[in-house]
Amino acid sequence: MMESPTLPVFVAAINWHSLLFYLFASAACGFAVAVVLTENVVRMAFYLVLSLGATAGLFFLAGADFVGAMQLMIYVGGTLVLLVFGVMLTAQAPLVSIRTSPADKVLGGLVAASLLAVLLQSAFSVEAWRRPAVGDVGTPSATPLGMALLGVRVDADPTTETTALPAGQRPVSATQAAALNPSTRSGYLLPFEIVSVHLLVVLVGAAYLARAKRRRTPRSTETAGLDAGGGP
Amino acid sequence: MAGLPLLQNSLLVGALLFVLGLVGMLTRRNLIVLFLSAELMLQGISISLVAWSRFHGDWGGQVFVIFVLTVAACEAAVALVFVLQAFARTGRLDAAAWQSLRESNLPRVVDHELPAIDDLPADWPKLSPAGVQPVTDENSALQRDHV
Repeated sequence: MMESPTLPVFVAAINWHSLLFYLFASAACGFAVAVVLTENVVRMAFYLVLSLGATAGLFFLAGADFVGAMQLMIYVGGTLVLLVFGVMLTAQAPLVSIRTSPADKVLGGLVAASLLAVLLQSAFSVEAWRRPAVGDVGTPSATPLGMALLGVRVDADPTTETTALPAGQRPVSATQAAALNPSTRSGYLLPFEIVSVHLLVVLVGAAYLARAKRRRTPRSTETAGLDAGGGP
Repeated sequence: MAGLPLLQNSLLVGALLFVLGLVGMLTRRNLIVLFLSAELMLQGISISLVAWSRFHGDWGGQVFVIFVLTVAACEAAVALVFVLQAFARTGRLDAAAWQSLRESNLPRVVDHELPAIDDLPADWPKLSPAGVQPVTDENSALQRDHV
């Protein structure tokens, strides 16, 4: 952004990346709390849409622009719309809110709090995650990700400085180890193919399961009018 | 914010999202709400993976997030089909209504606060009046298997 002399000092002093990160993080966590606390299923789905949108903002701020765009298009635009369809197809009056007993809520809260304590303790006590960052990924990430999915590891290029290790020093990261050993630079072509066929099979199966079924006993035309509406 | 603070803040947010999804998974019984909570837990994992990818300079984290997105789409499609089929068959969405797969020596979980199956709006088939061409509703006829 161009520095304007009329810009107030406090605007230029704001760290916009940190501010946006805290904004999106609080939105994601706040709407997730709303998802857990709301009794109404339809409102829950709406809060989940907002929470996942804020998560896409976090992806953008972490430099994963392609993943963030995929999150917005596929997750928020596709998967959640599917779930919202499911919610609205089943949102009948006695089913909109199924309440849980308070003992279950207390128990679930205790389990979740202890798991959170364990997660944070372990995440902040790993030695390798308290040193400065060892690398960075480029921000226009669509091309490297596409190449990686096609089987080319752009991050393990042997011409980069990772091959220039001094003698006797072991590689400190898996990326460096992969760069030193050309046979391991295989990319992600096989998982990509597997997950593609998986998606195809799953969607065909879902369409098969959800098809409109014919009646079990096919009736002739003259008797179909008499007992229409009767169950089998 | 970049490097180490970004990683630690992202790990914090990811852990919070995962735990909130876990709370939803543990305390809710509506089957669709269980899937919404599972999506929340997947998002927590994805945030951590993207942060690690940035921190280590490795594309593997972002590639794995793409796989997570794909598998989540598959899971949502299949799970929604099963839930809707179960709902069309019994009219219940409570996870406690599906106990057929429990061990045979375990007692059945009894619900006290749920609407009983008798409280659901009865949709009995009615005979059409004589001498009139009956109105056939294809959808209601299809969804009446459980009556």
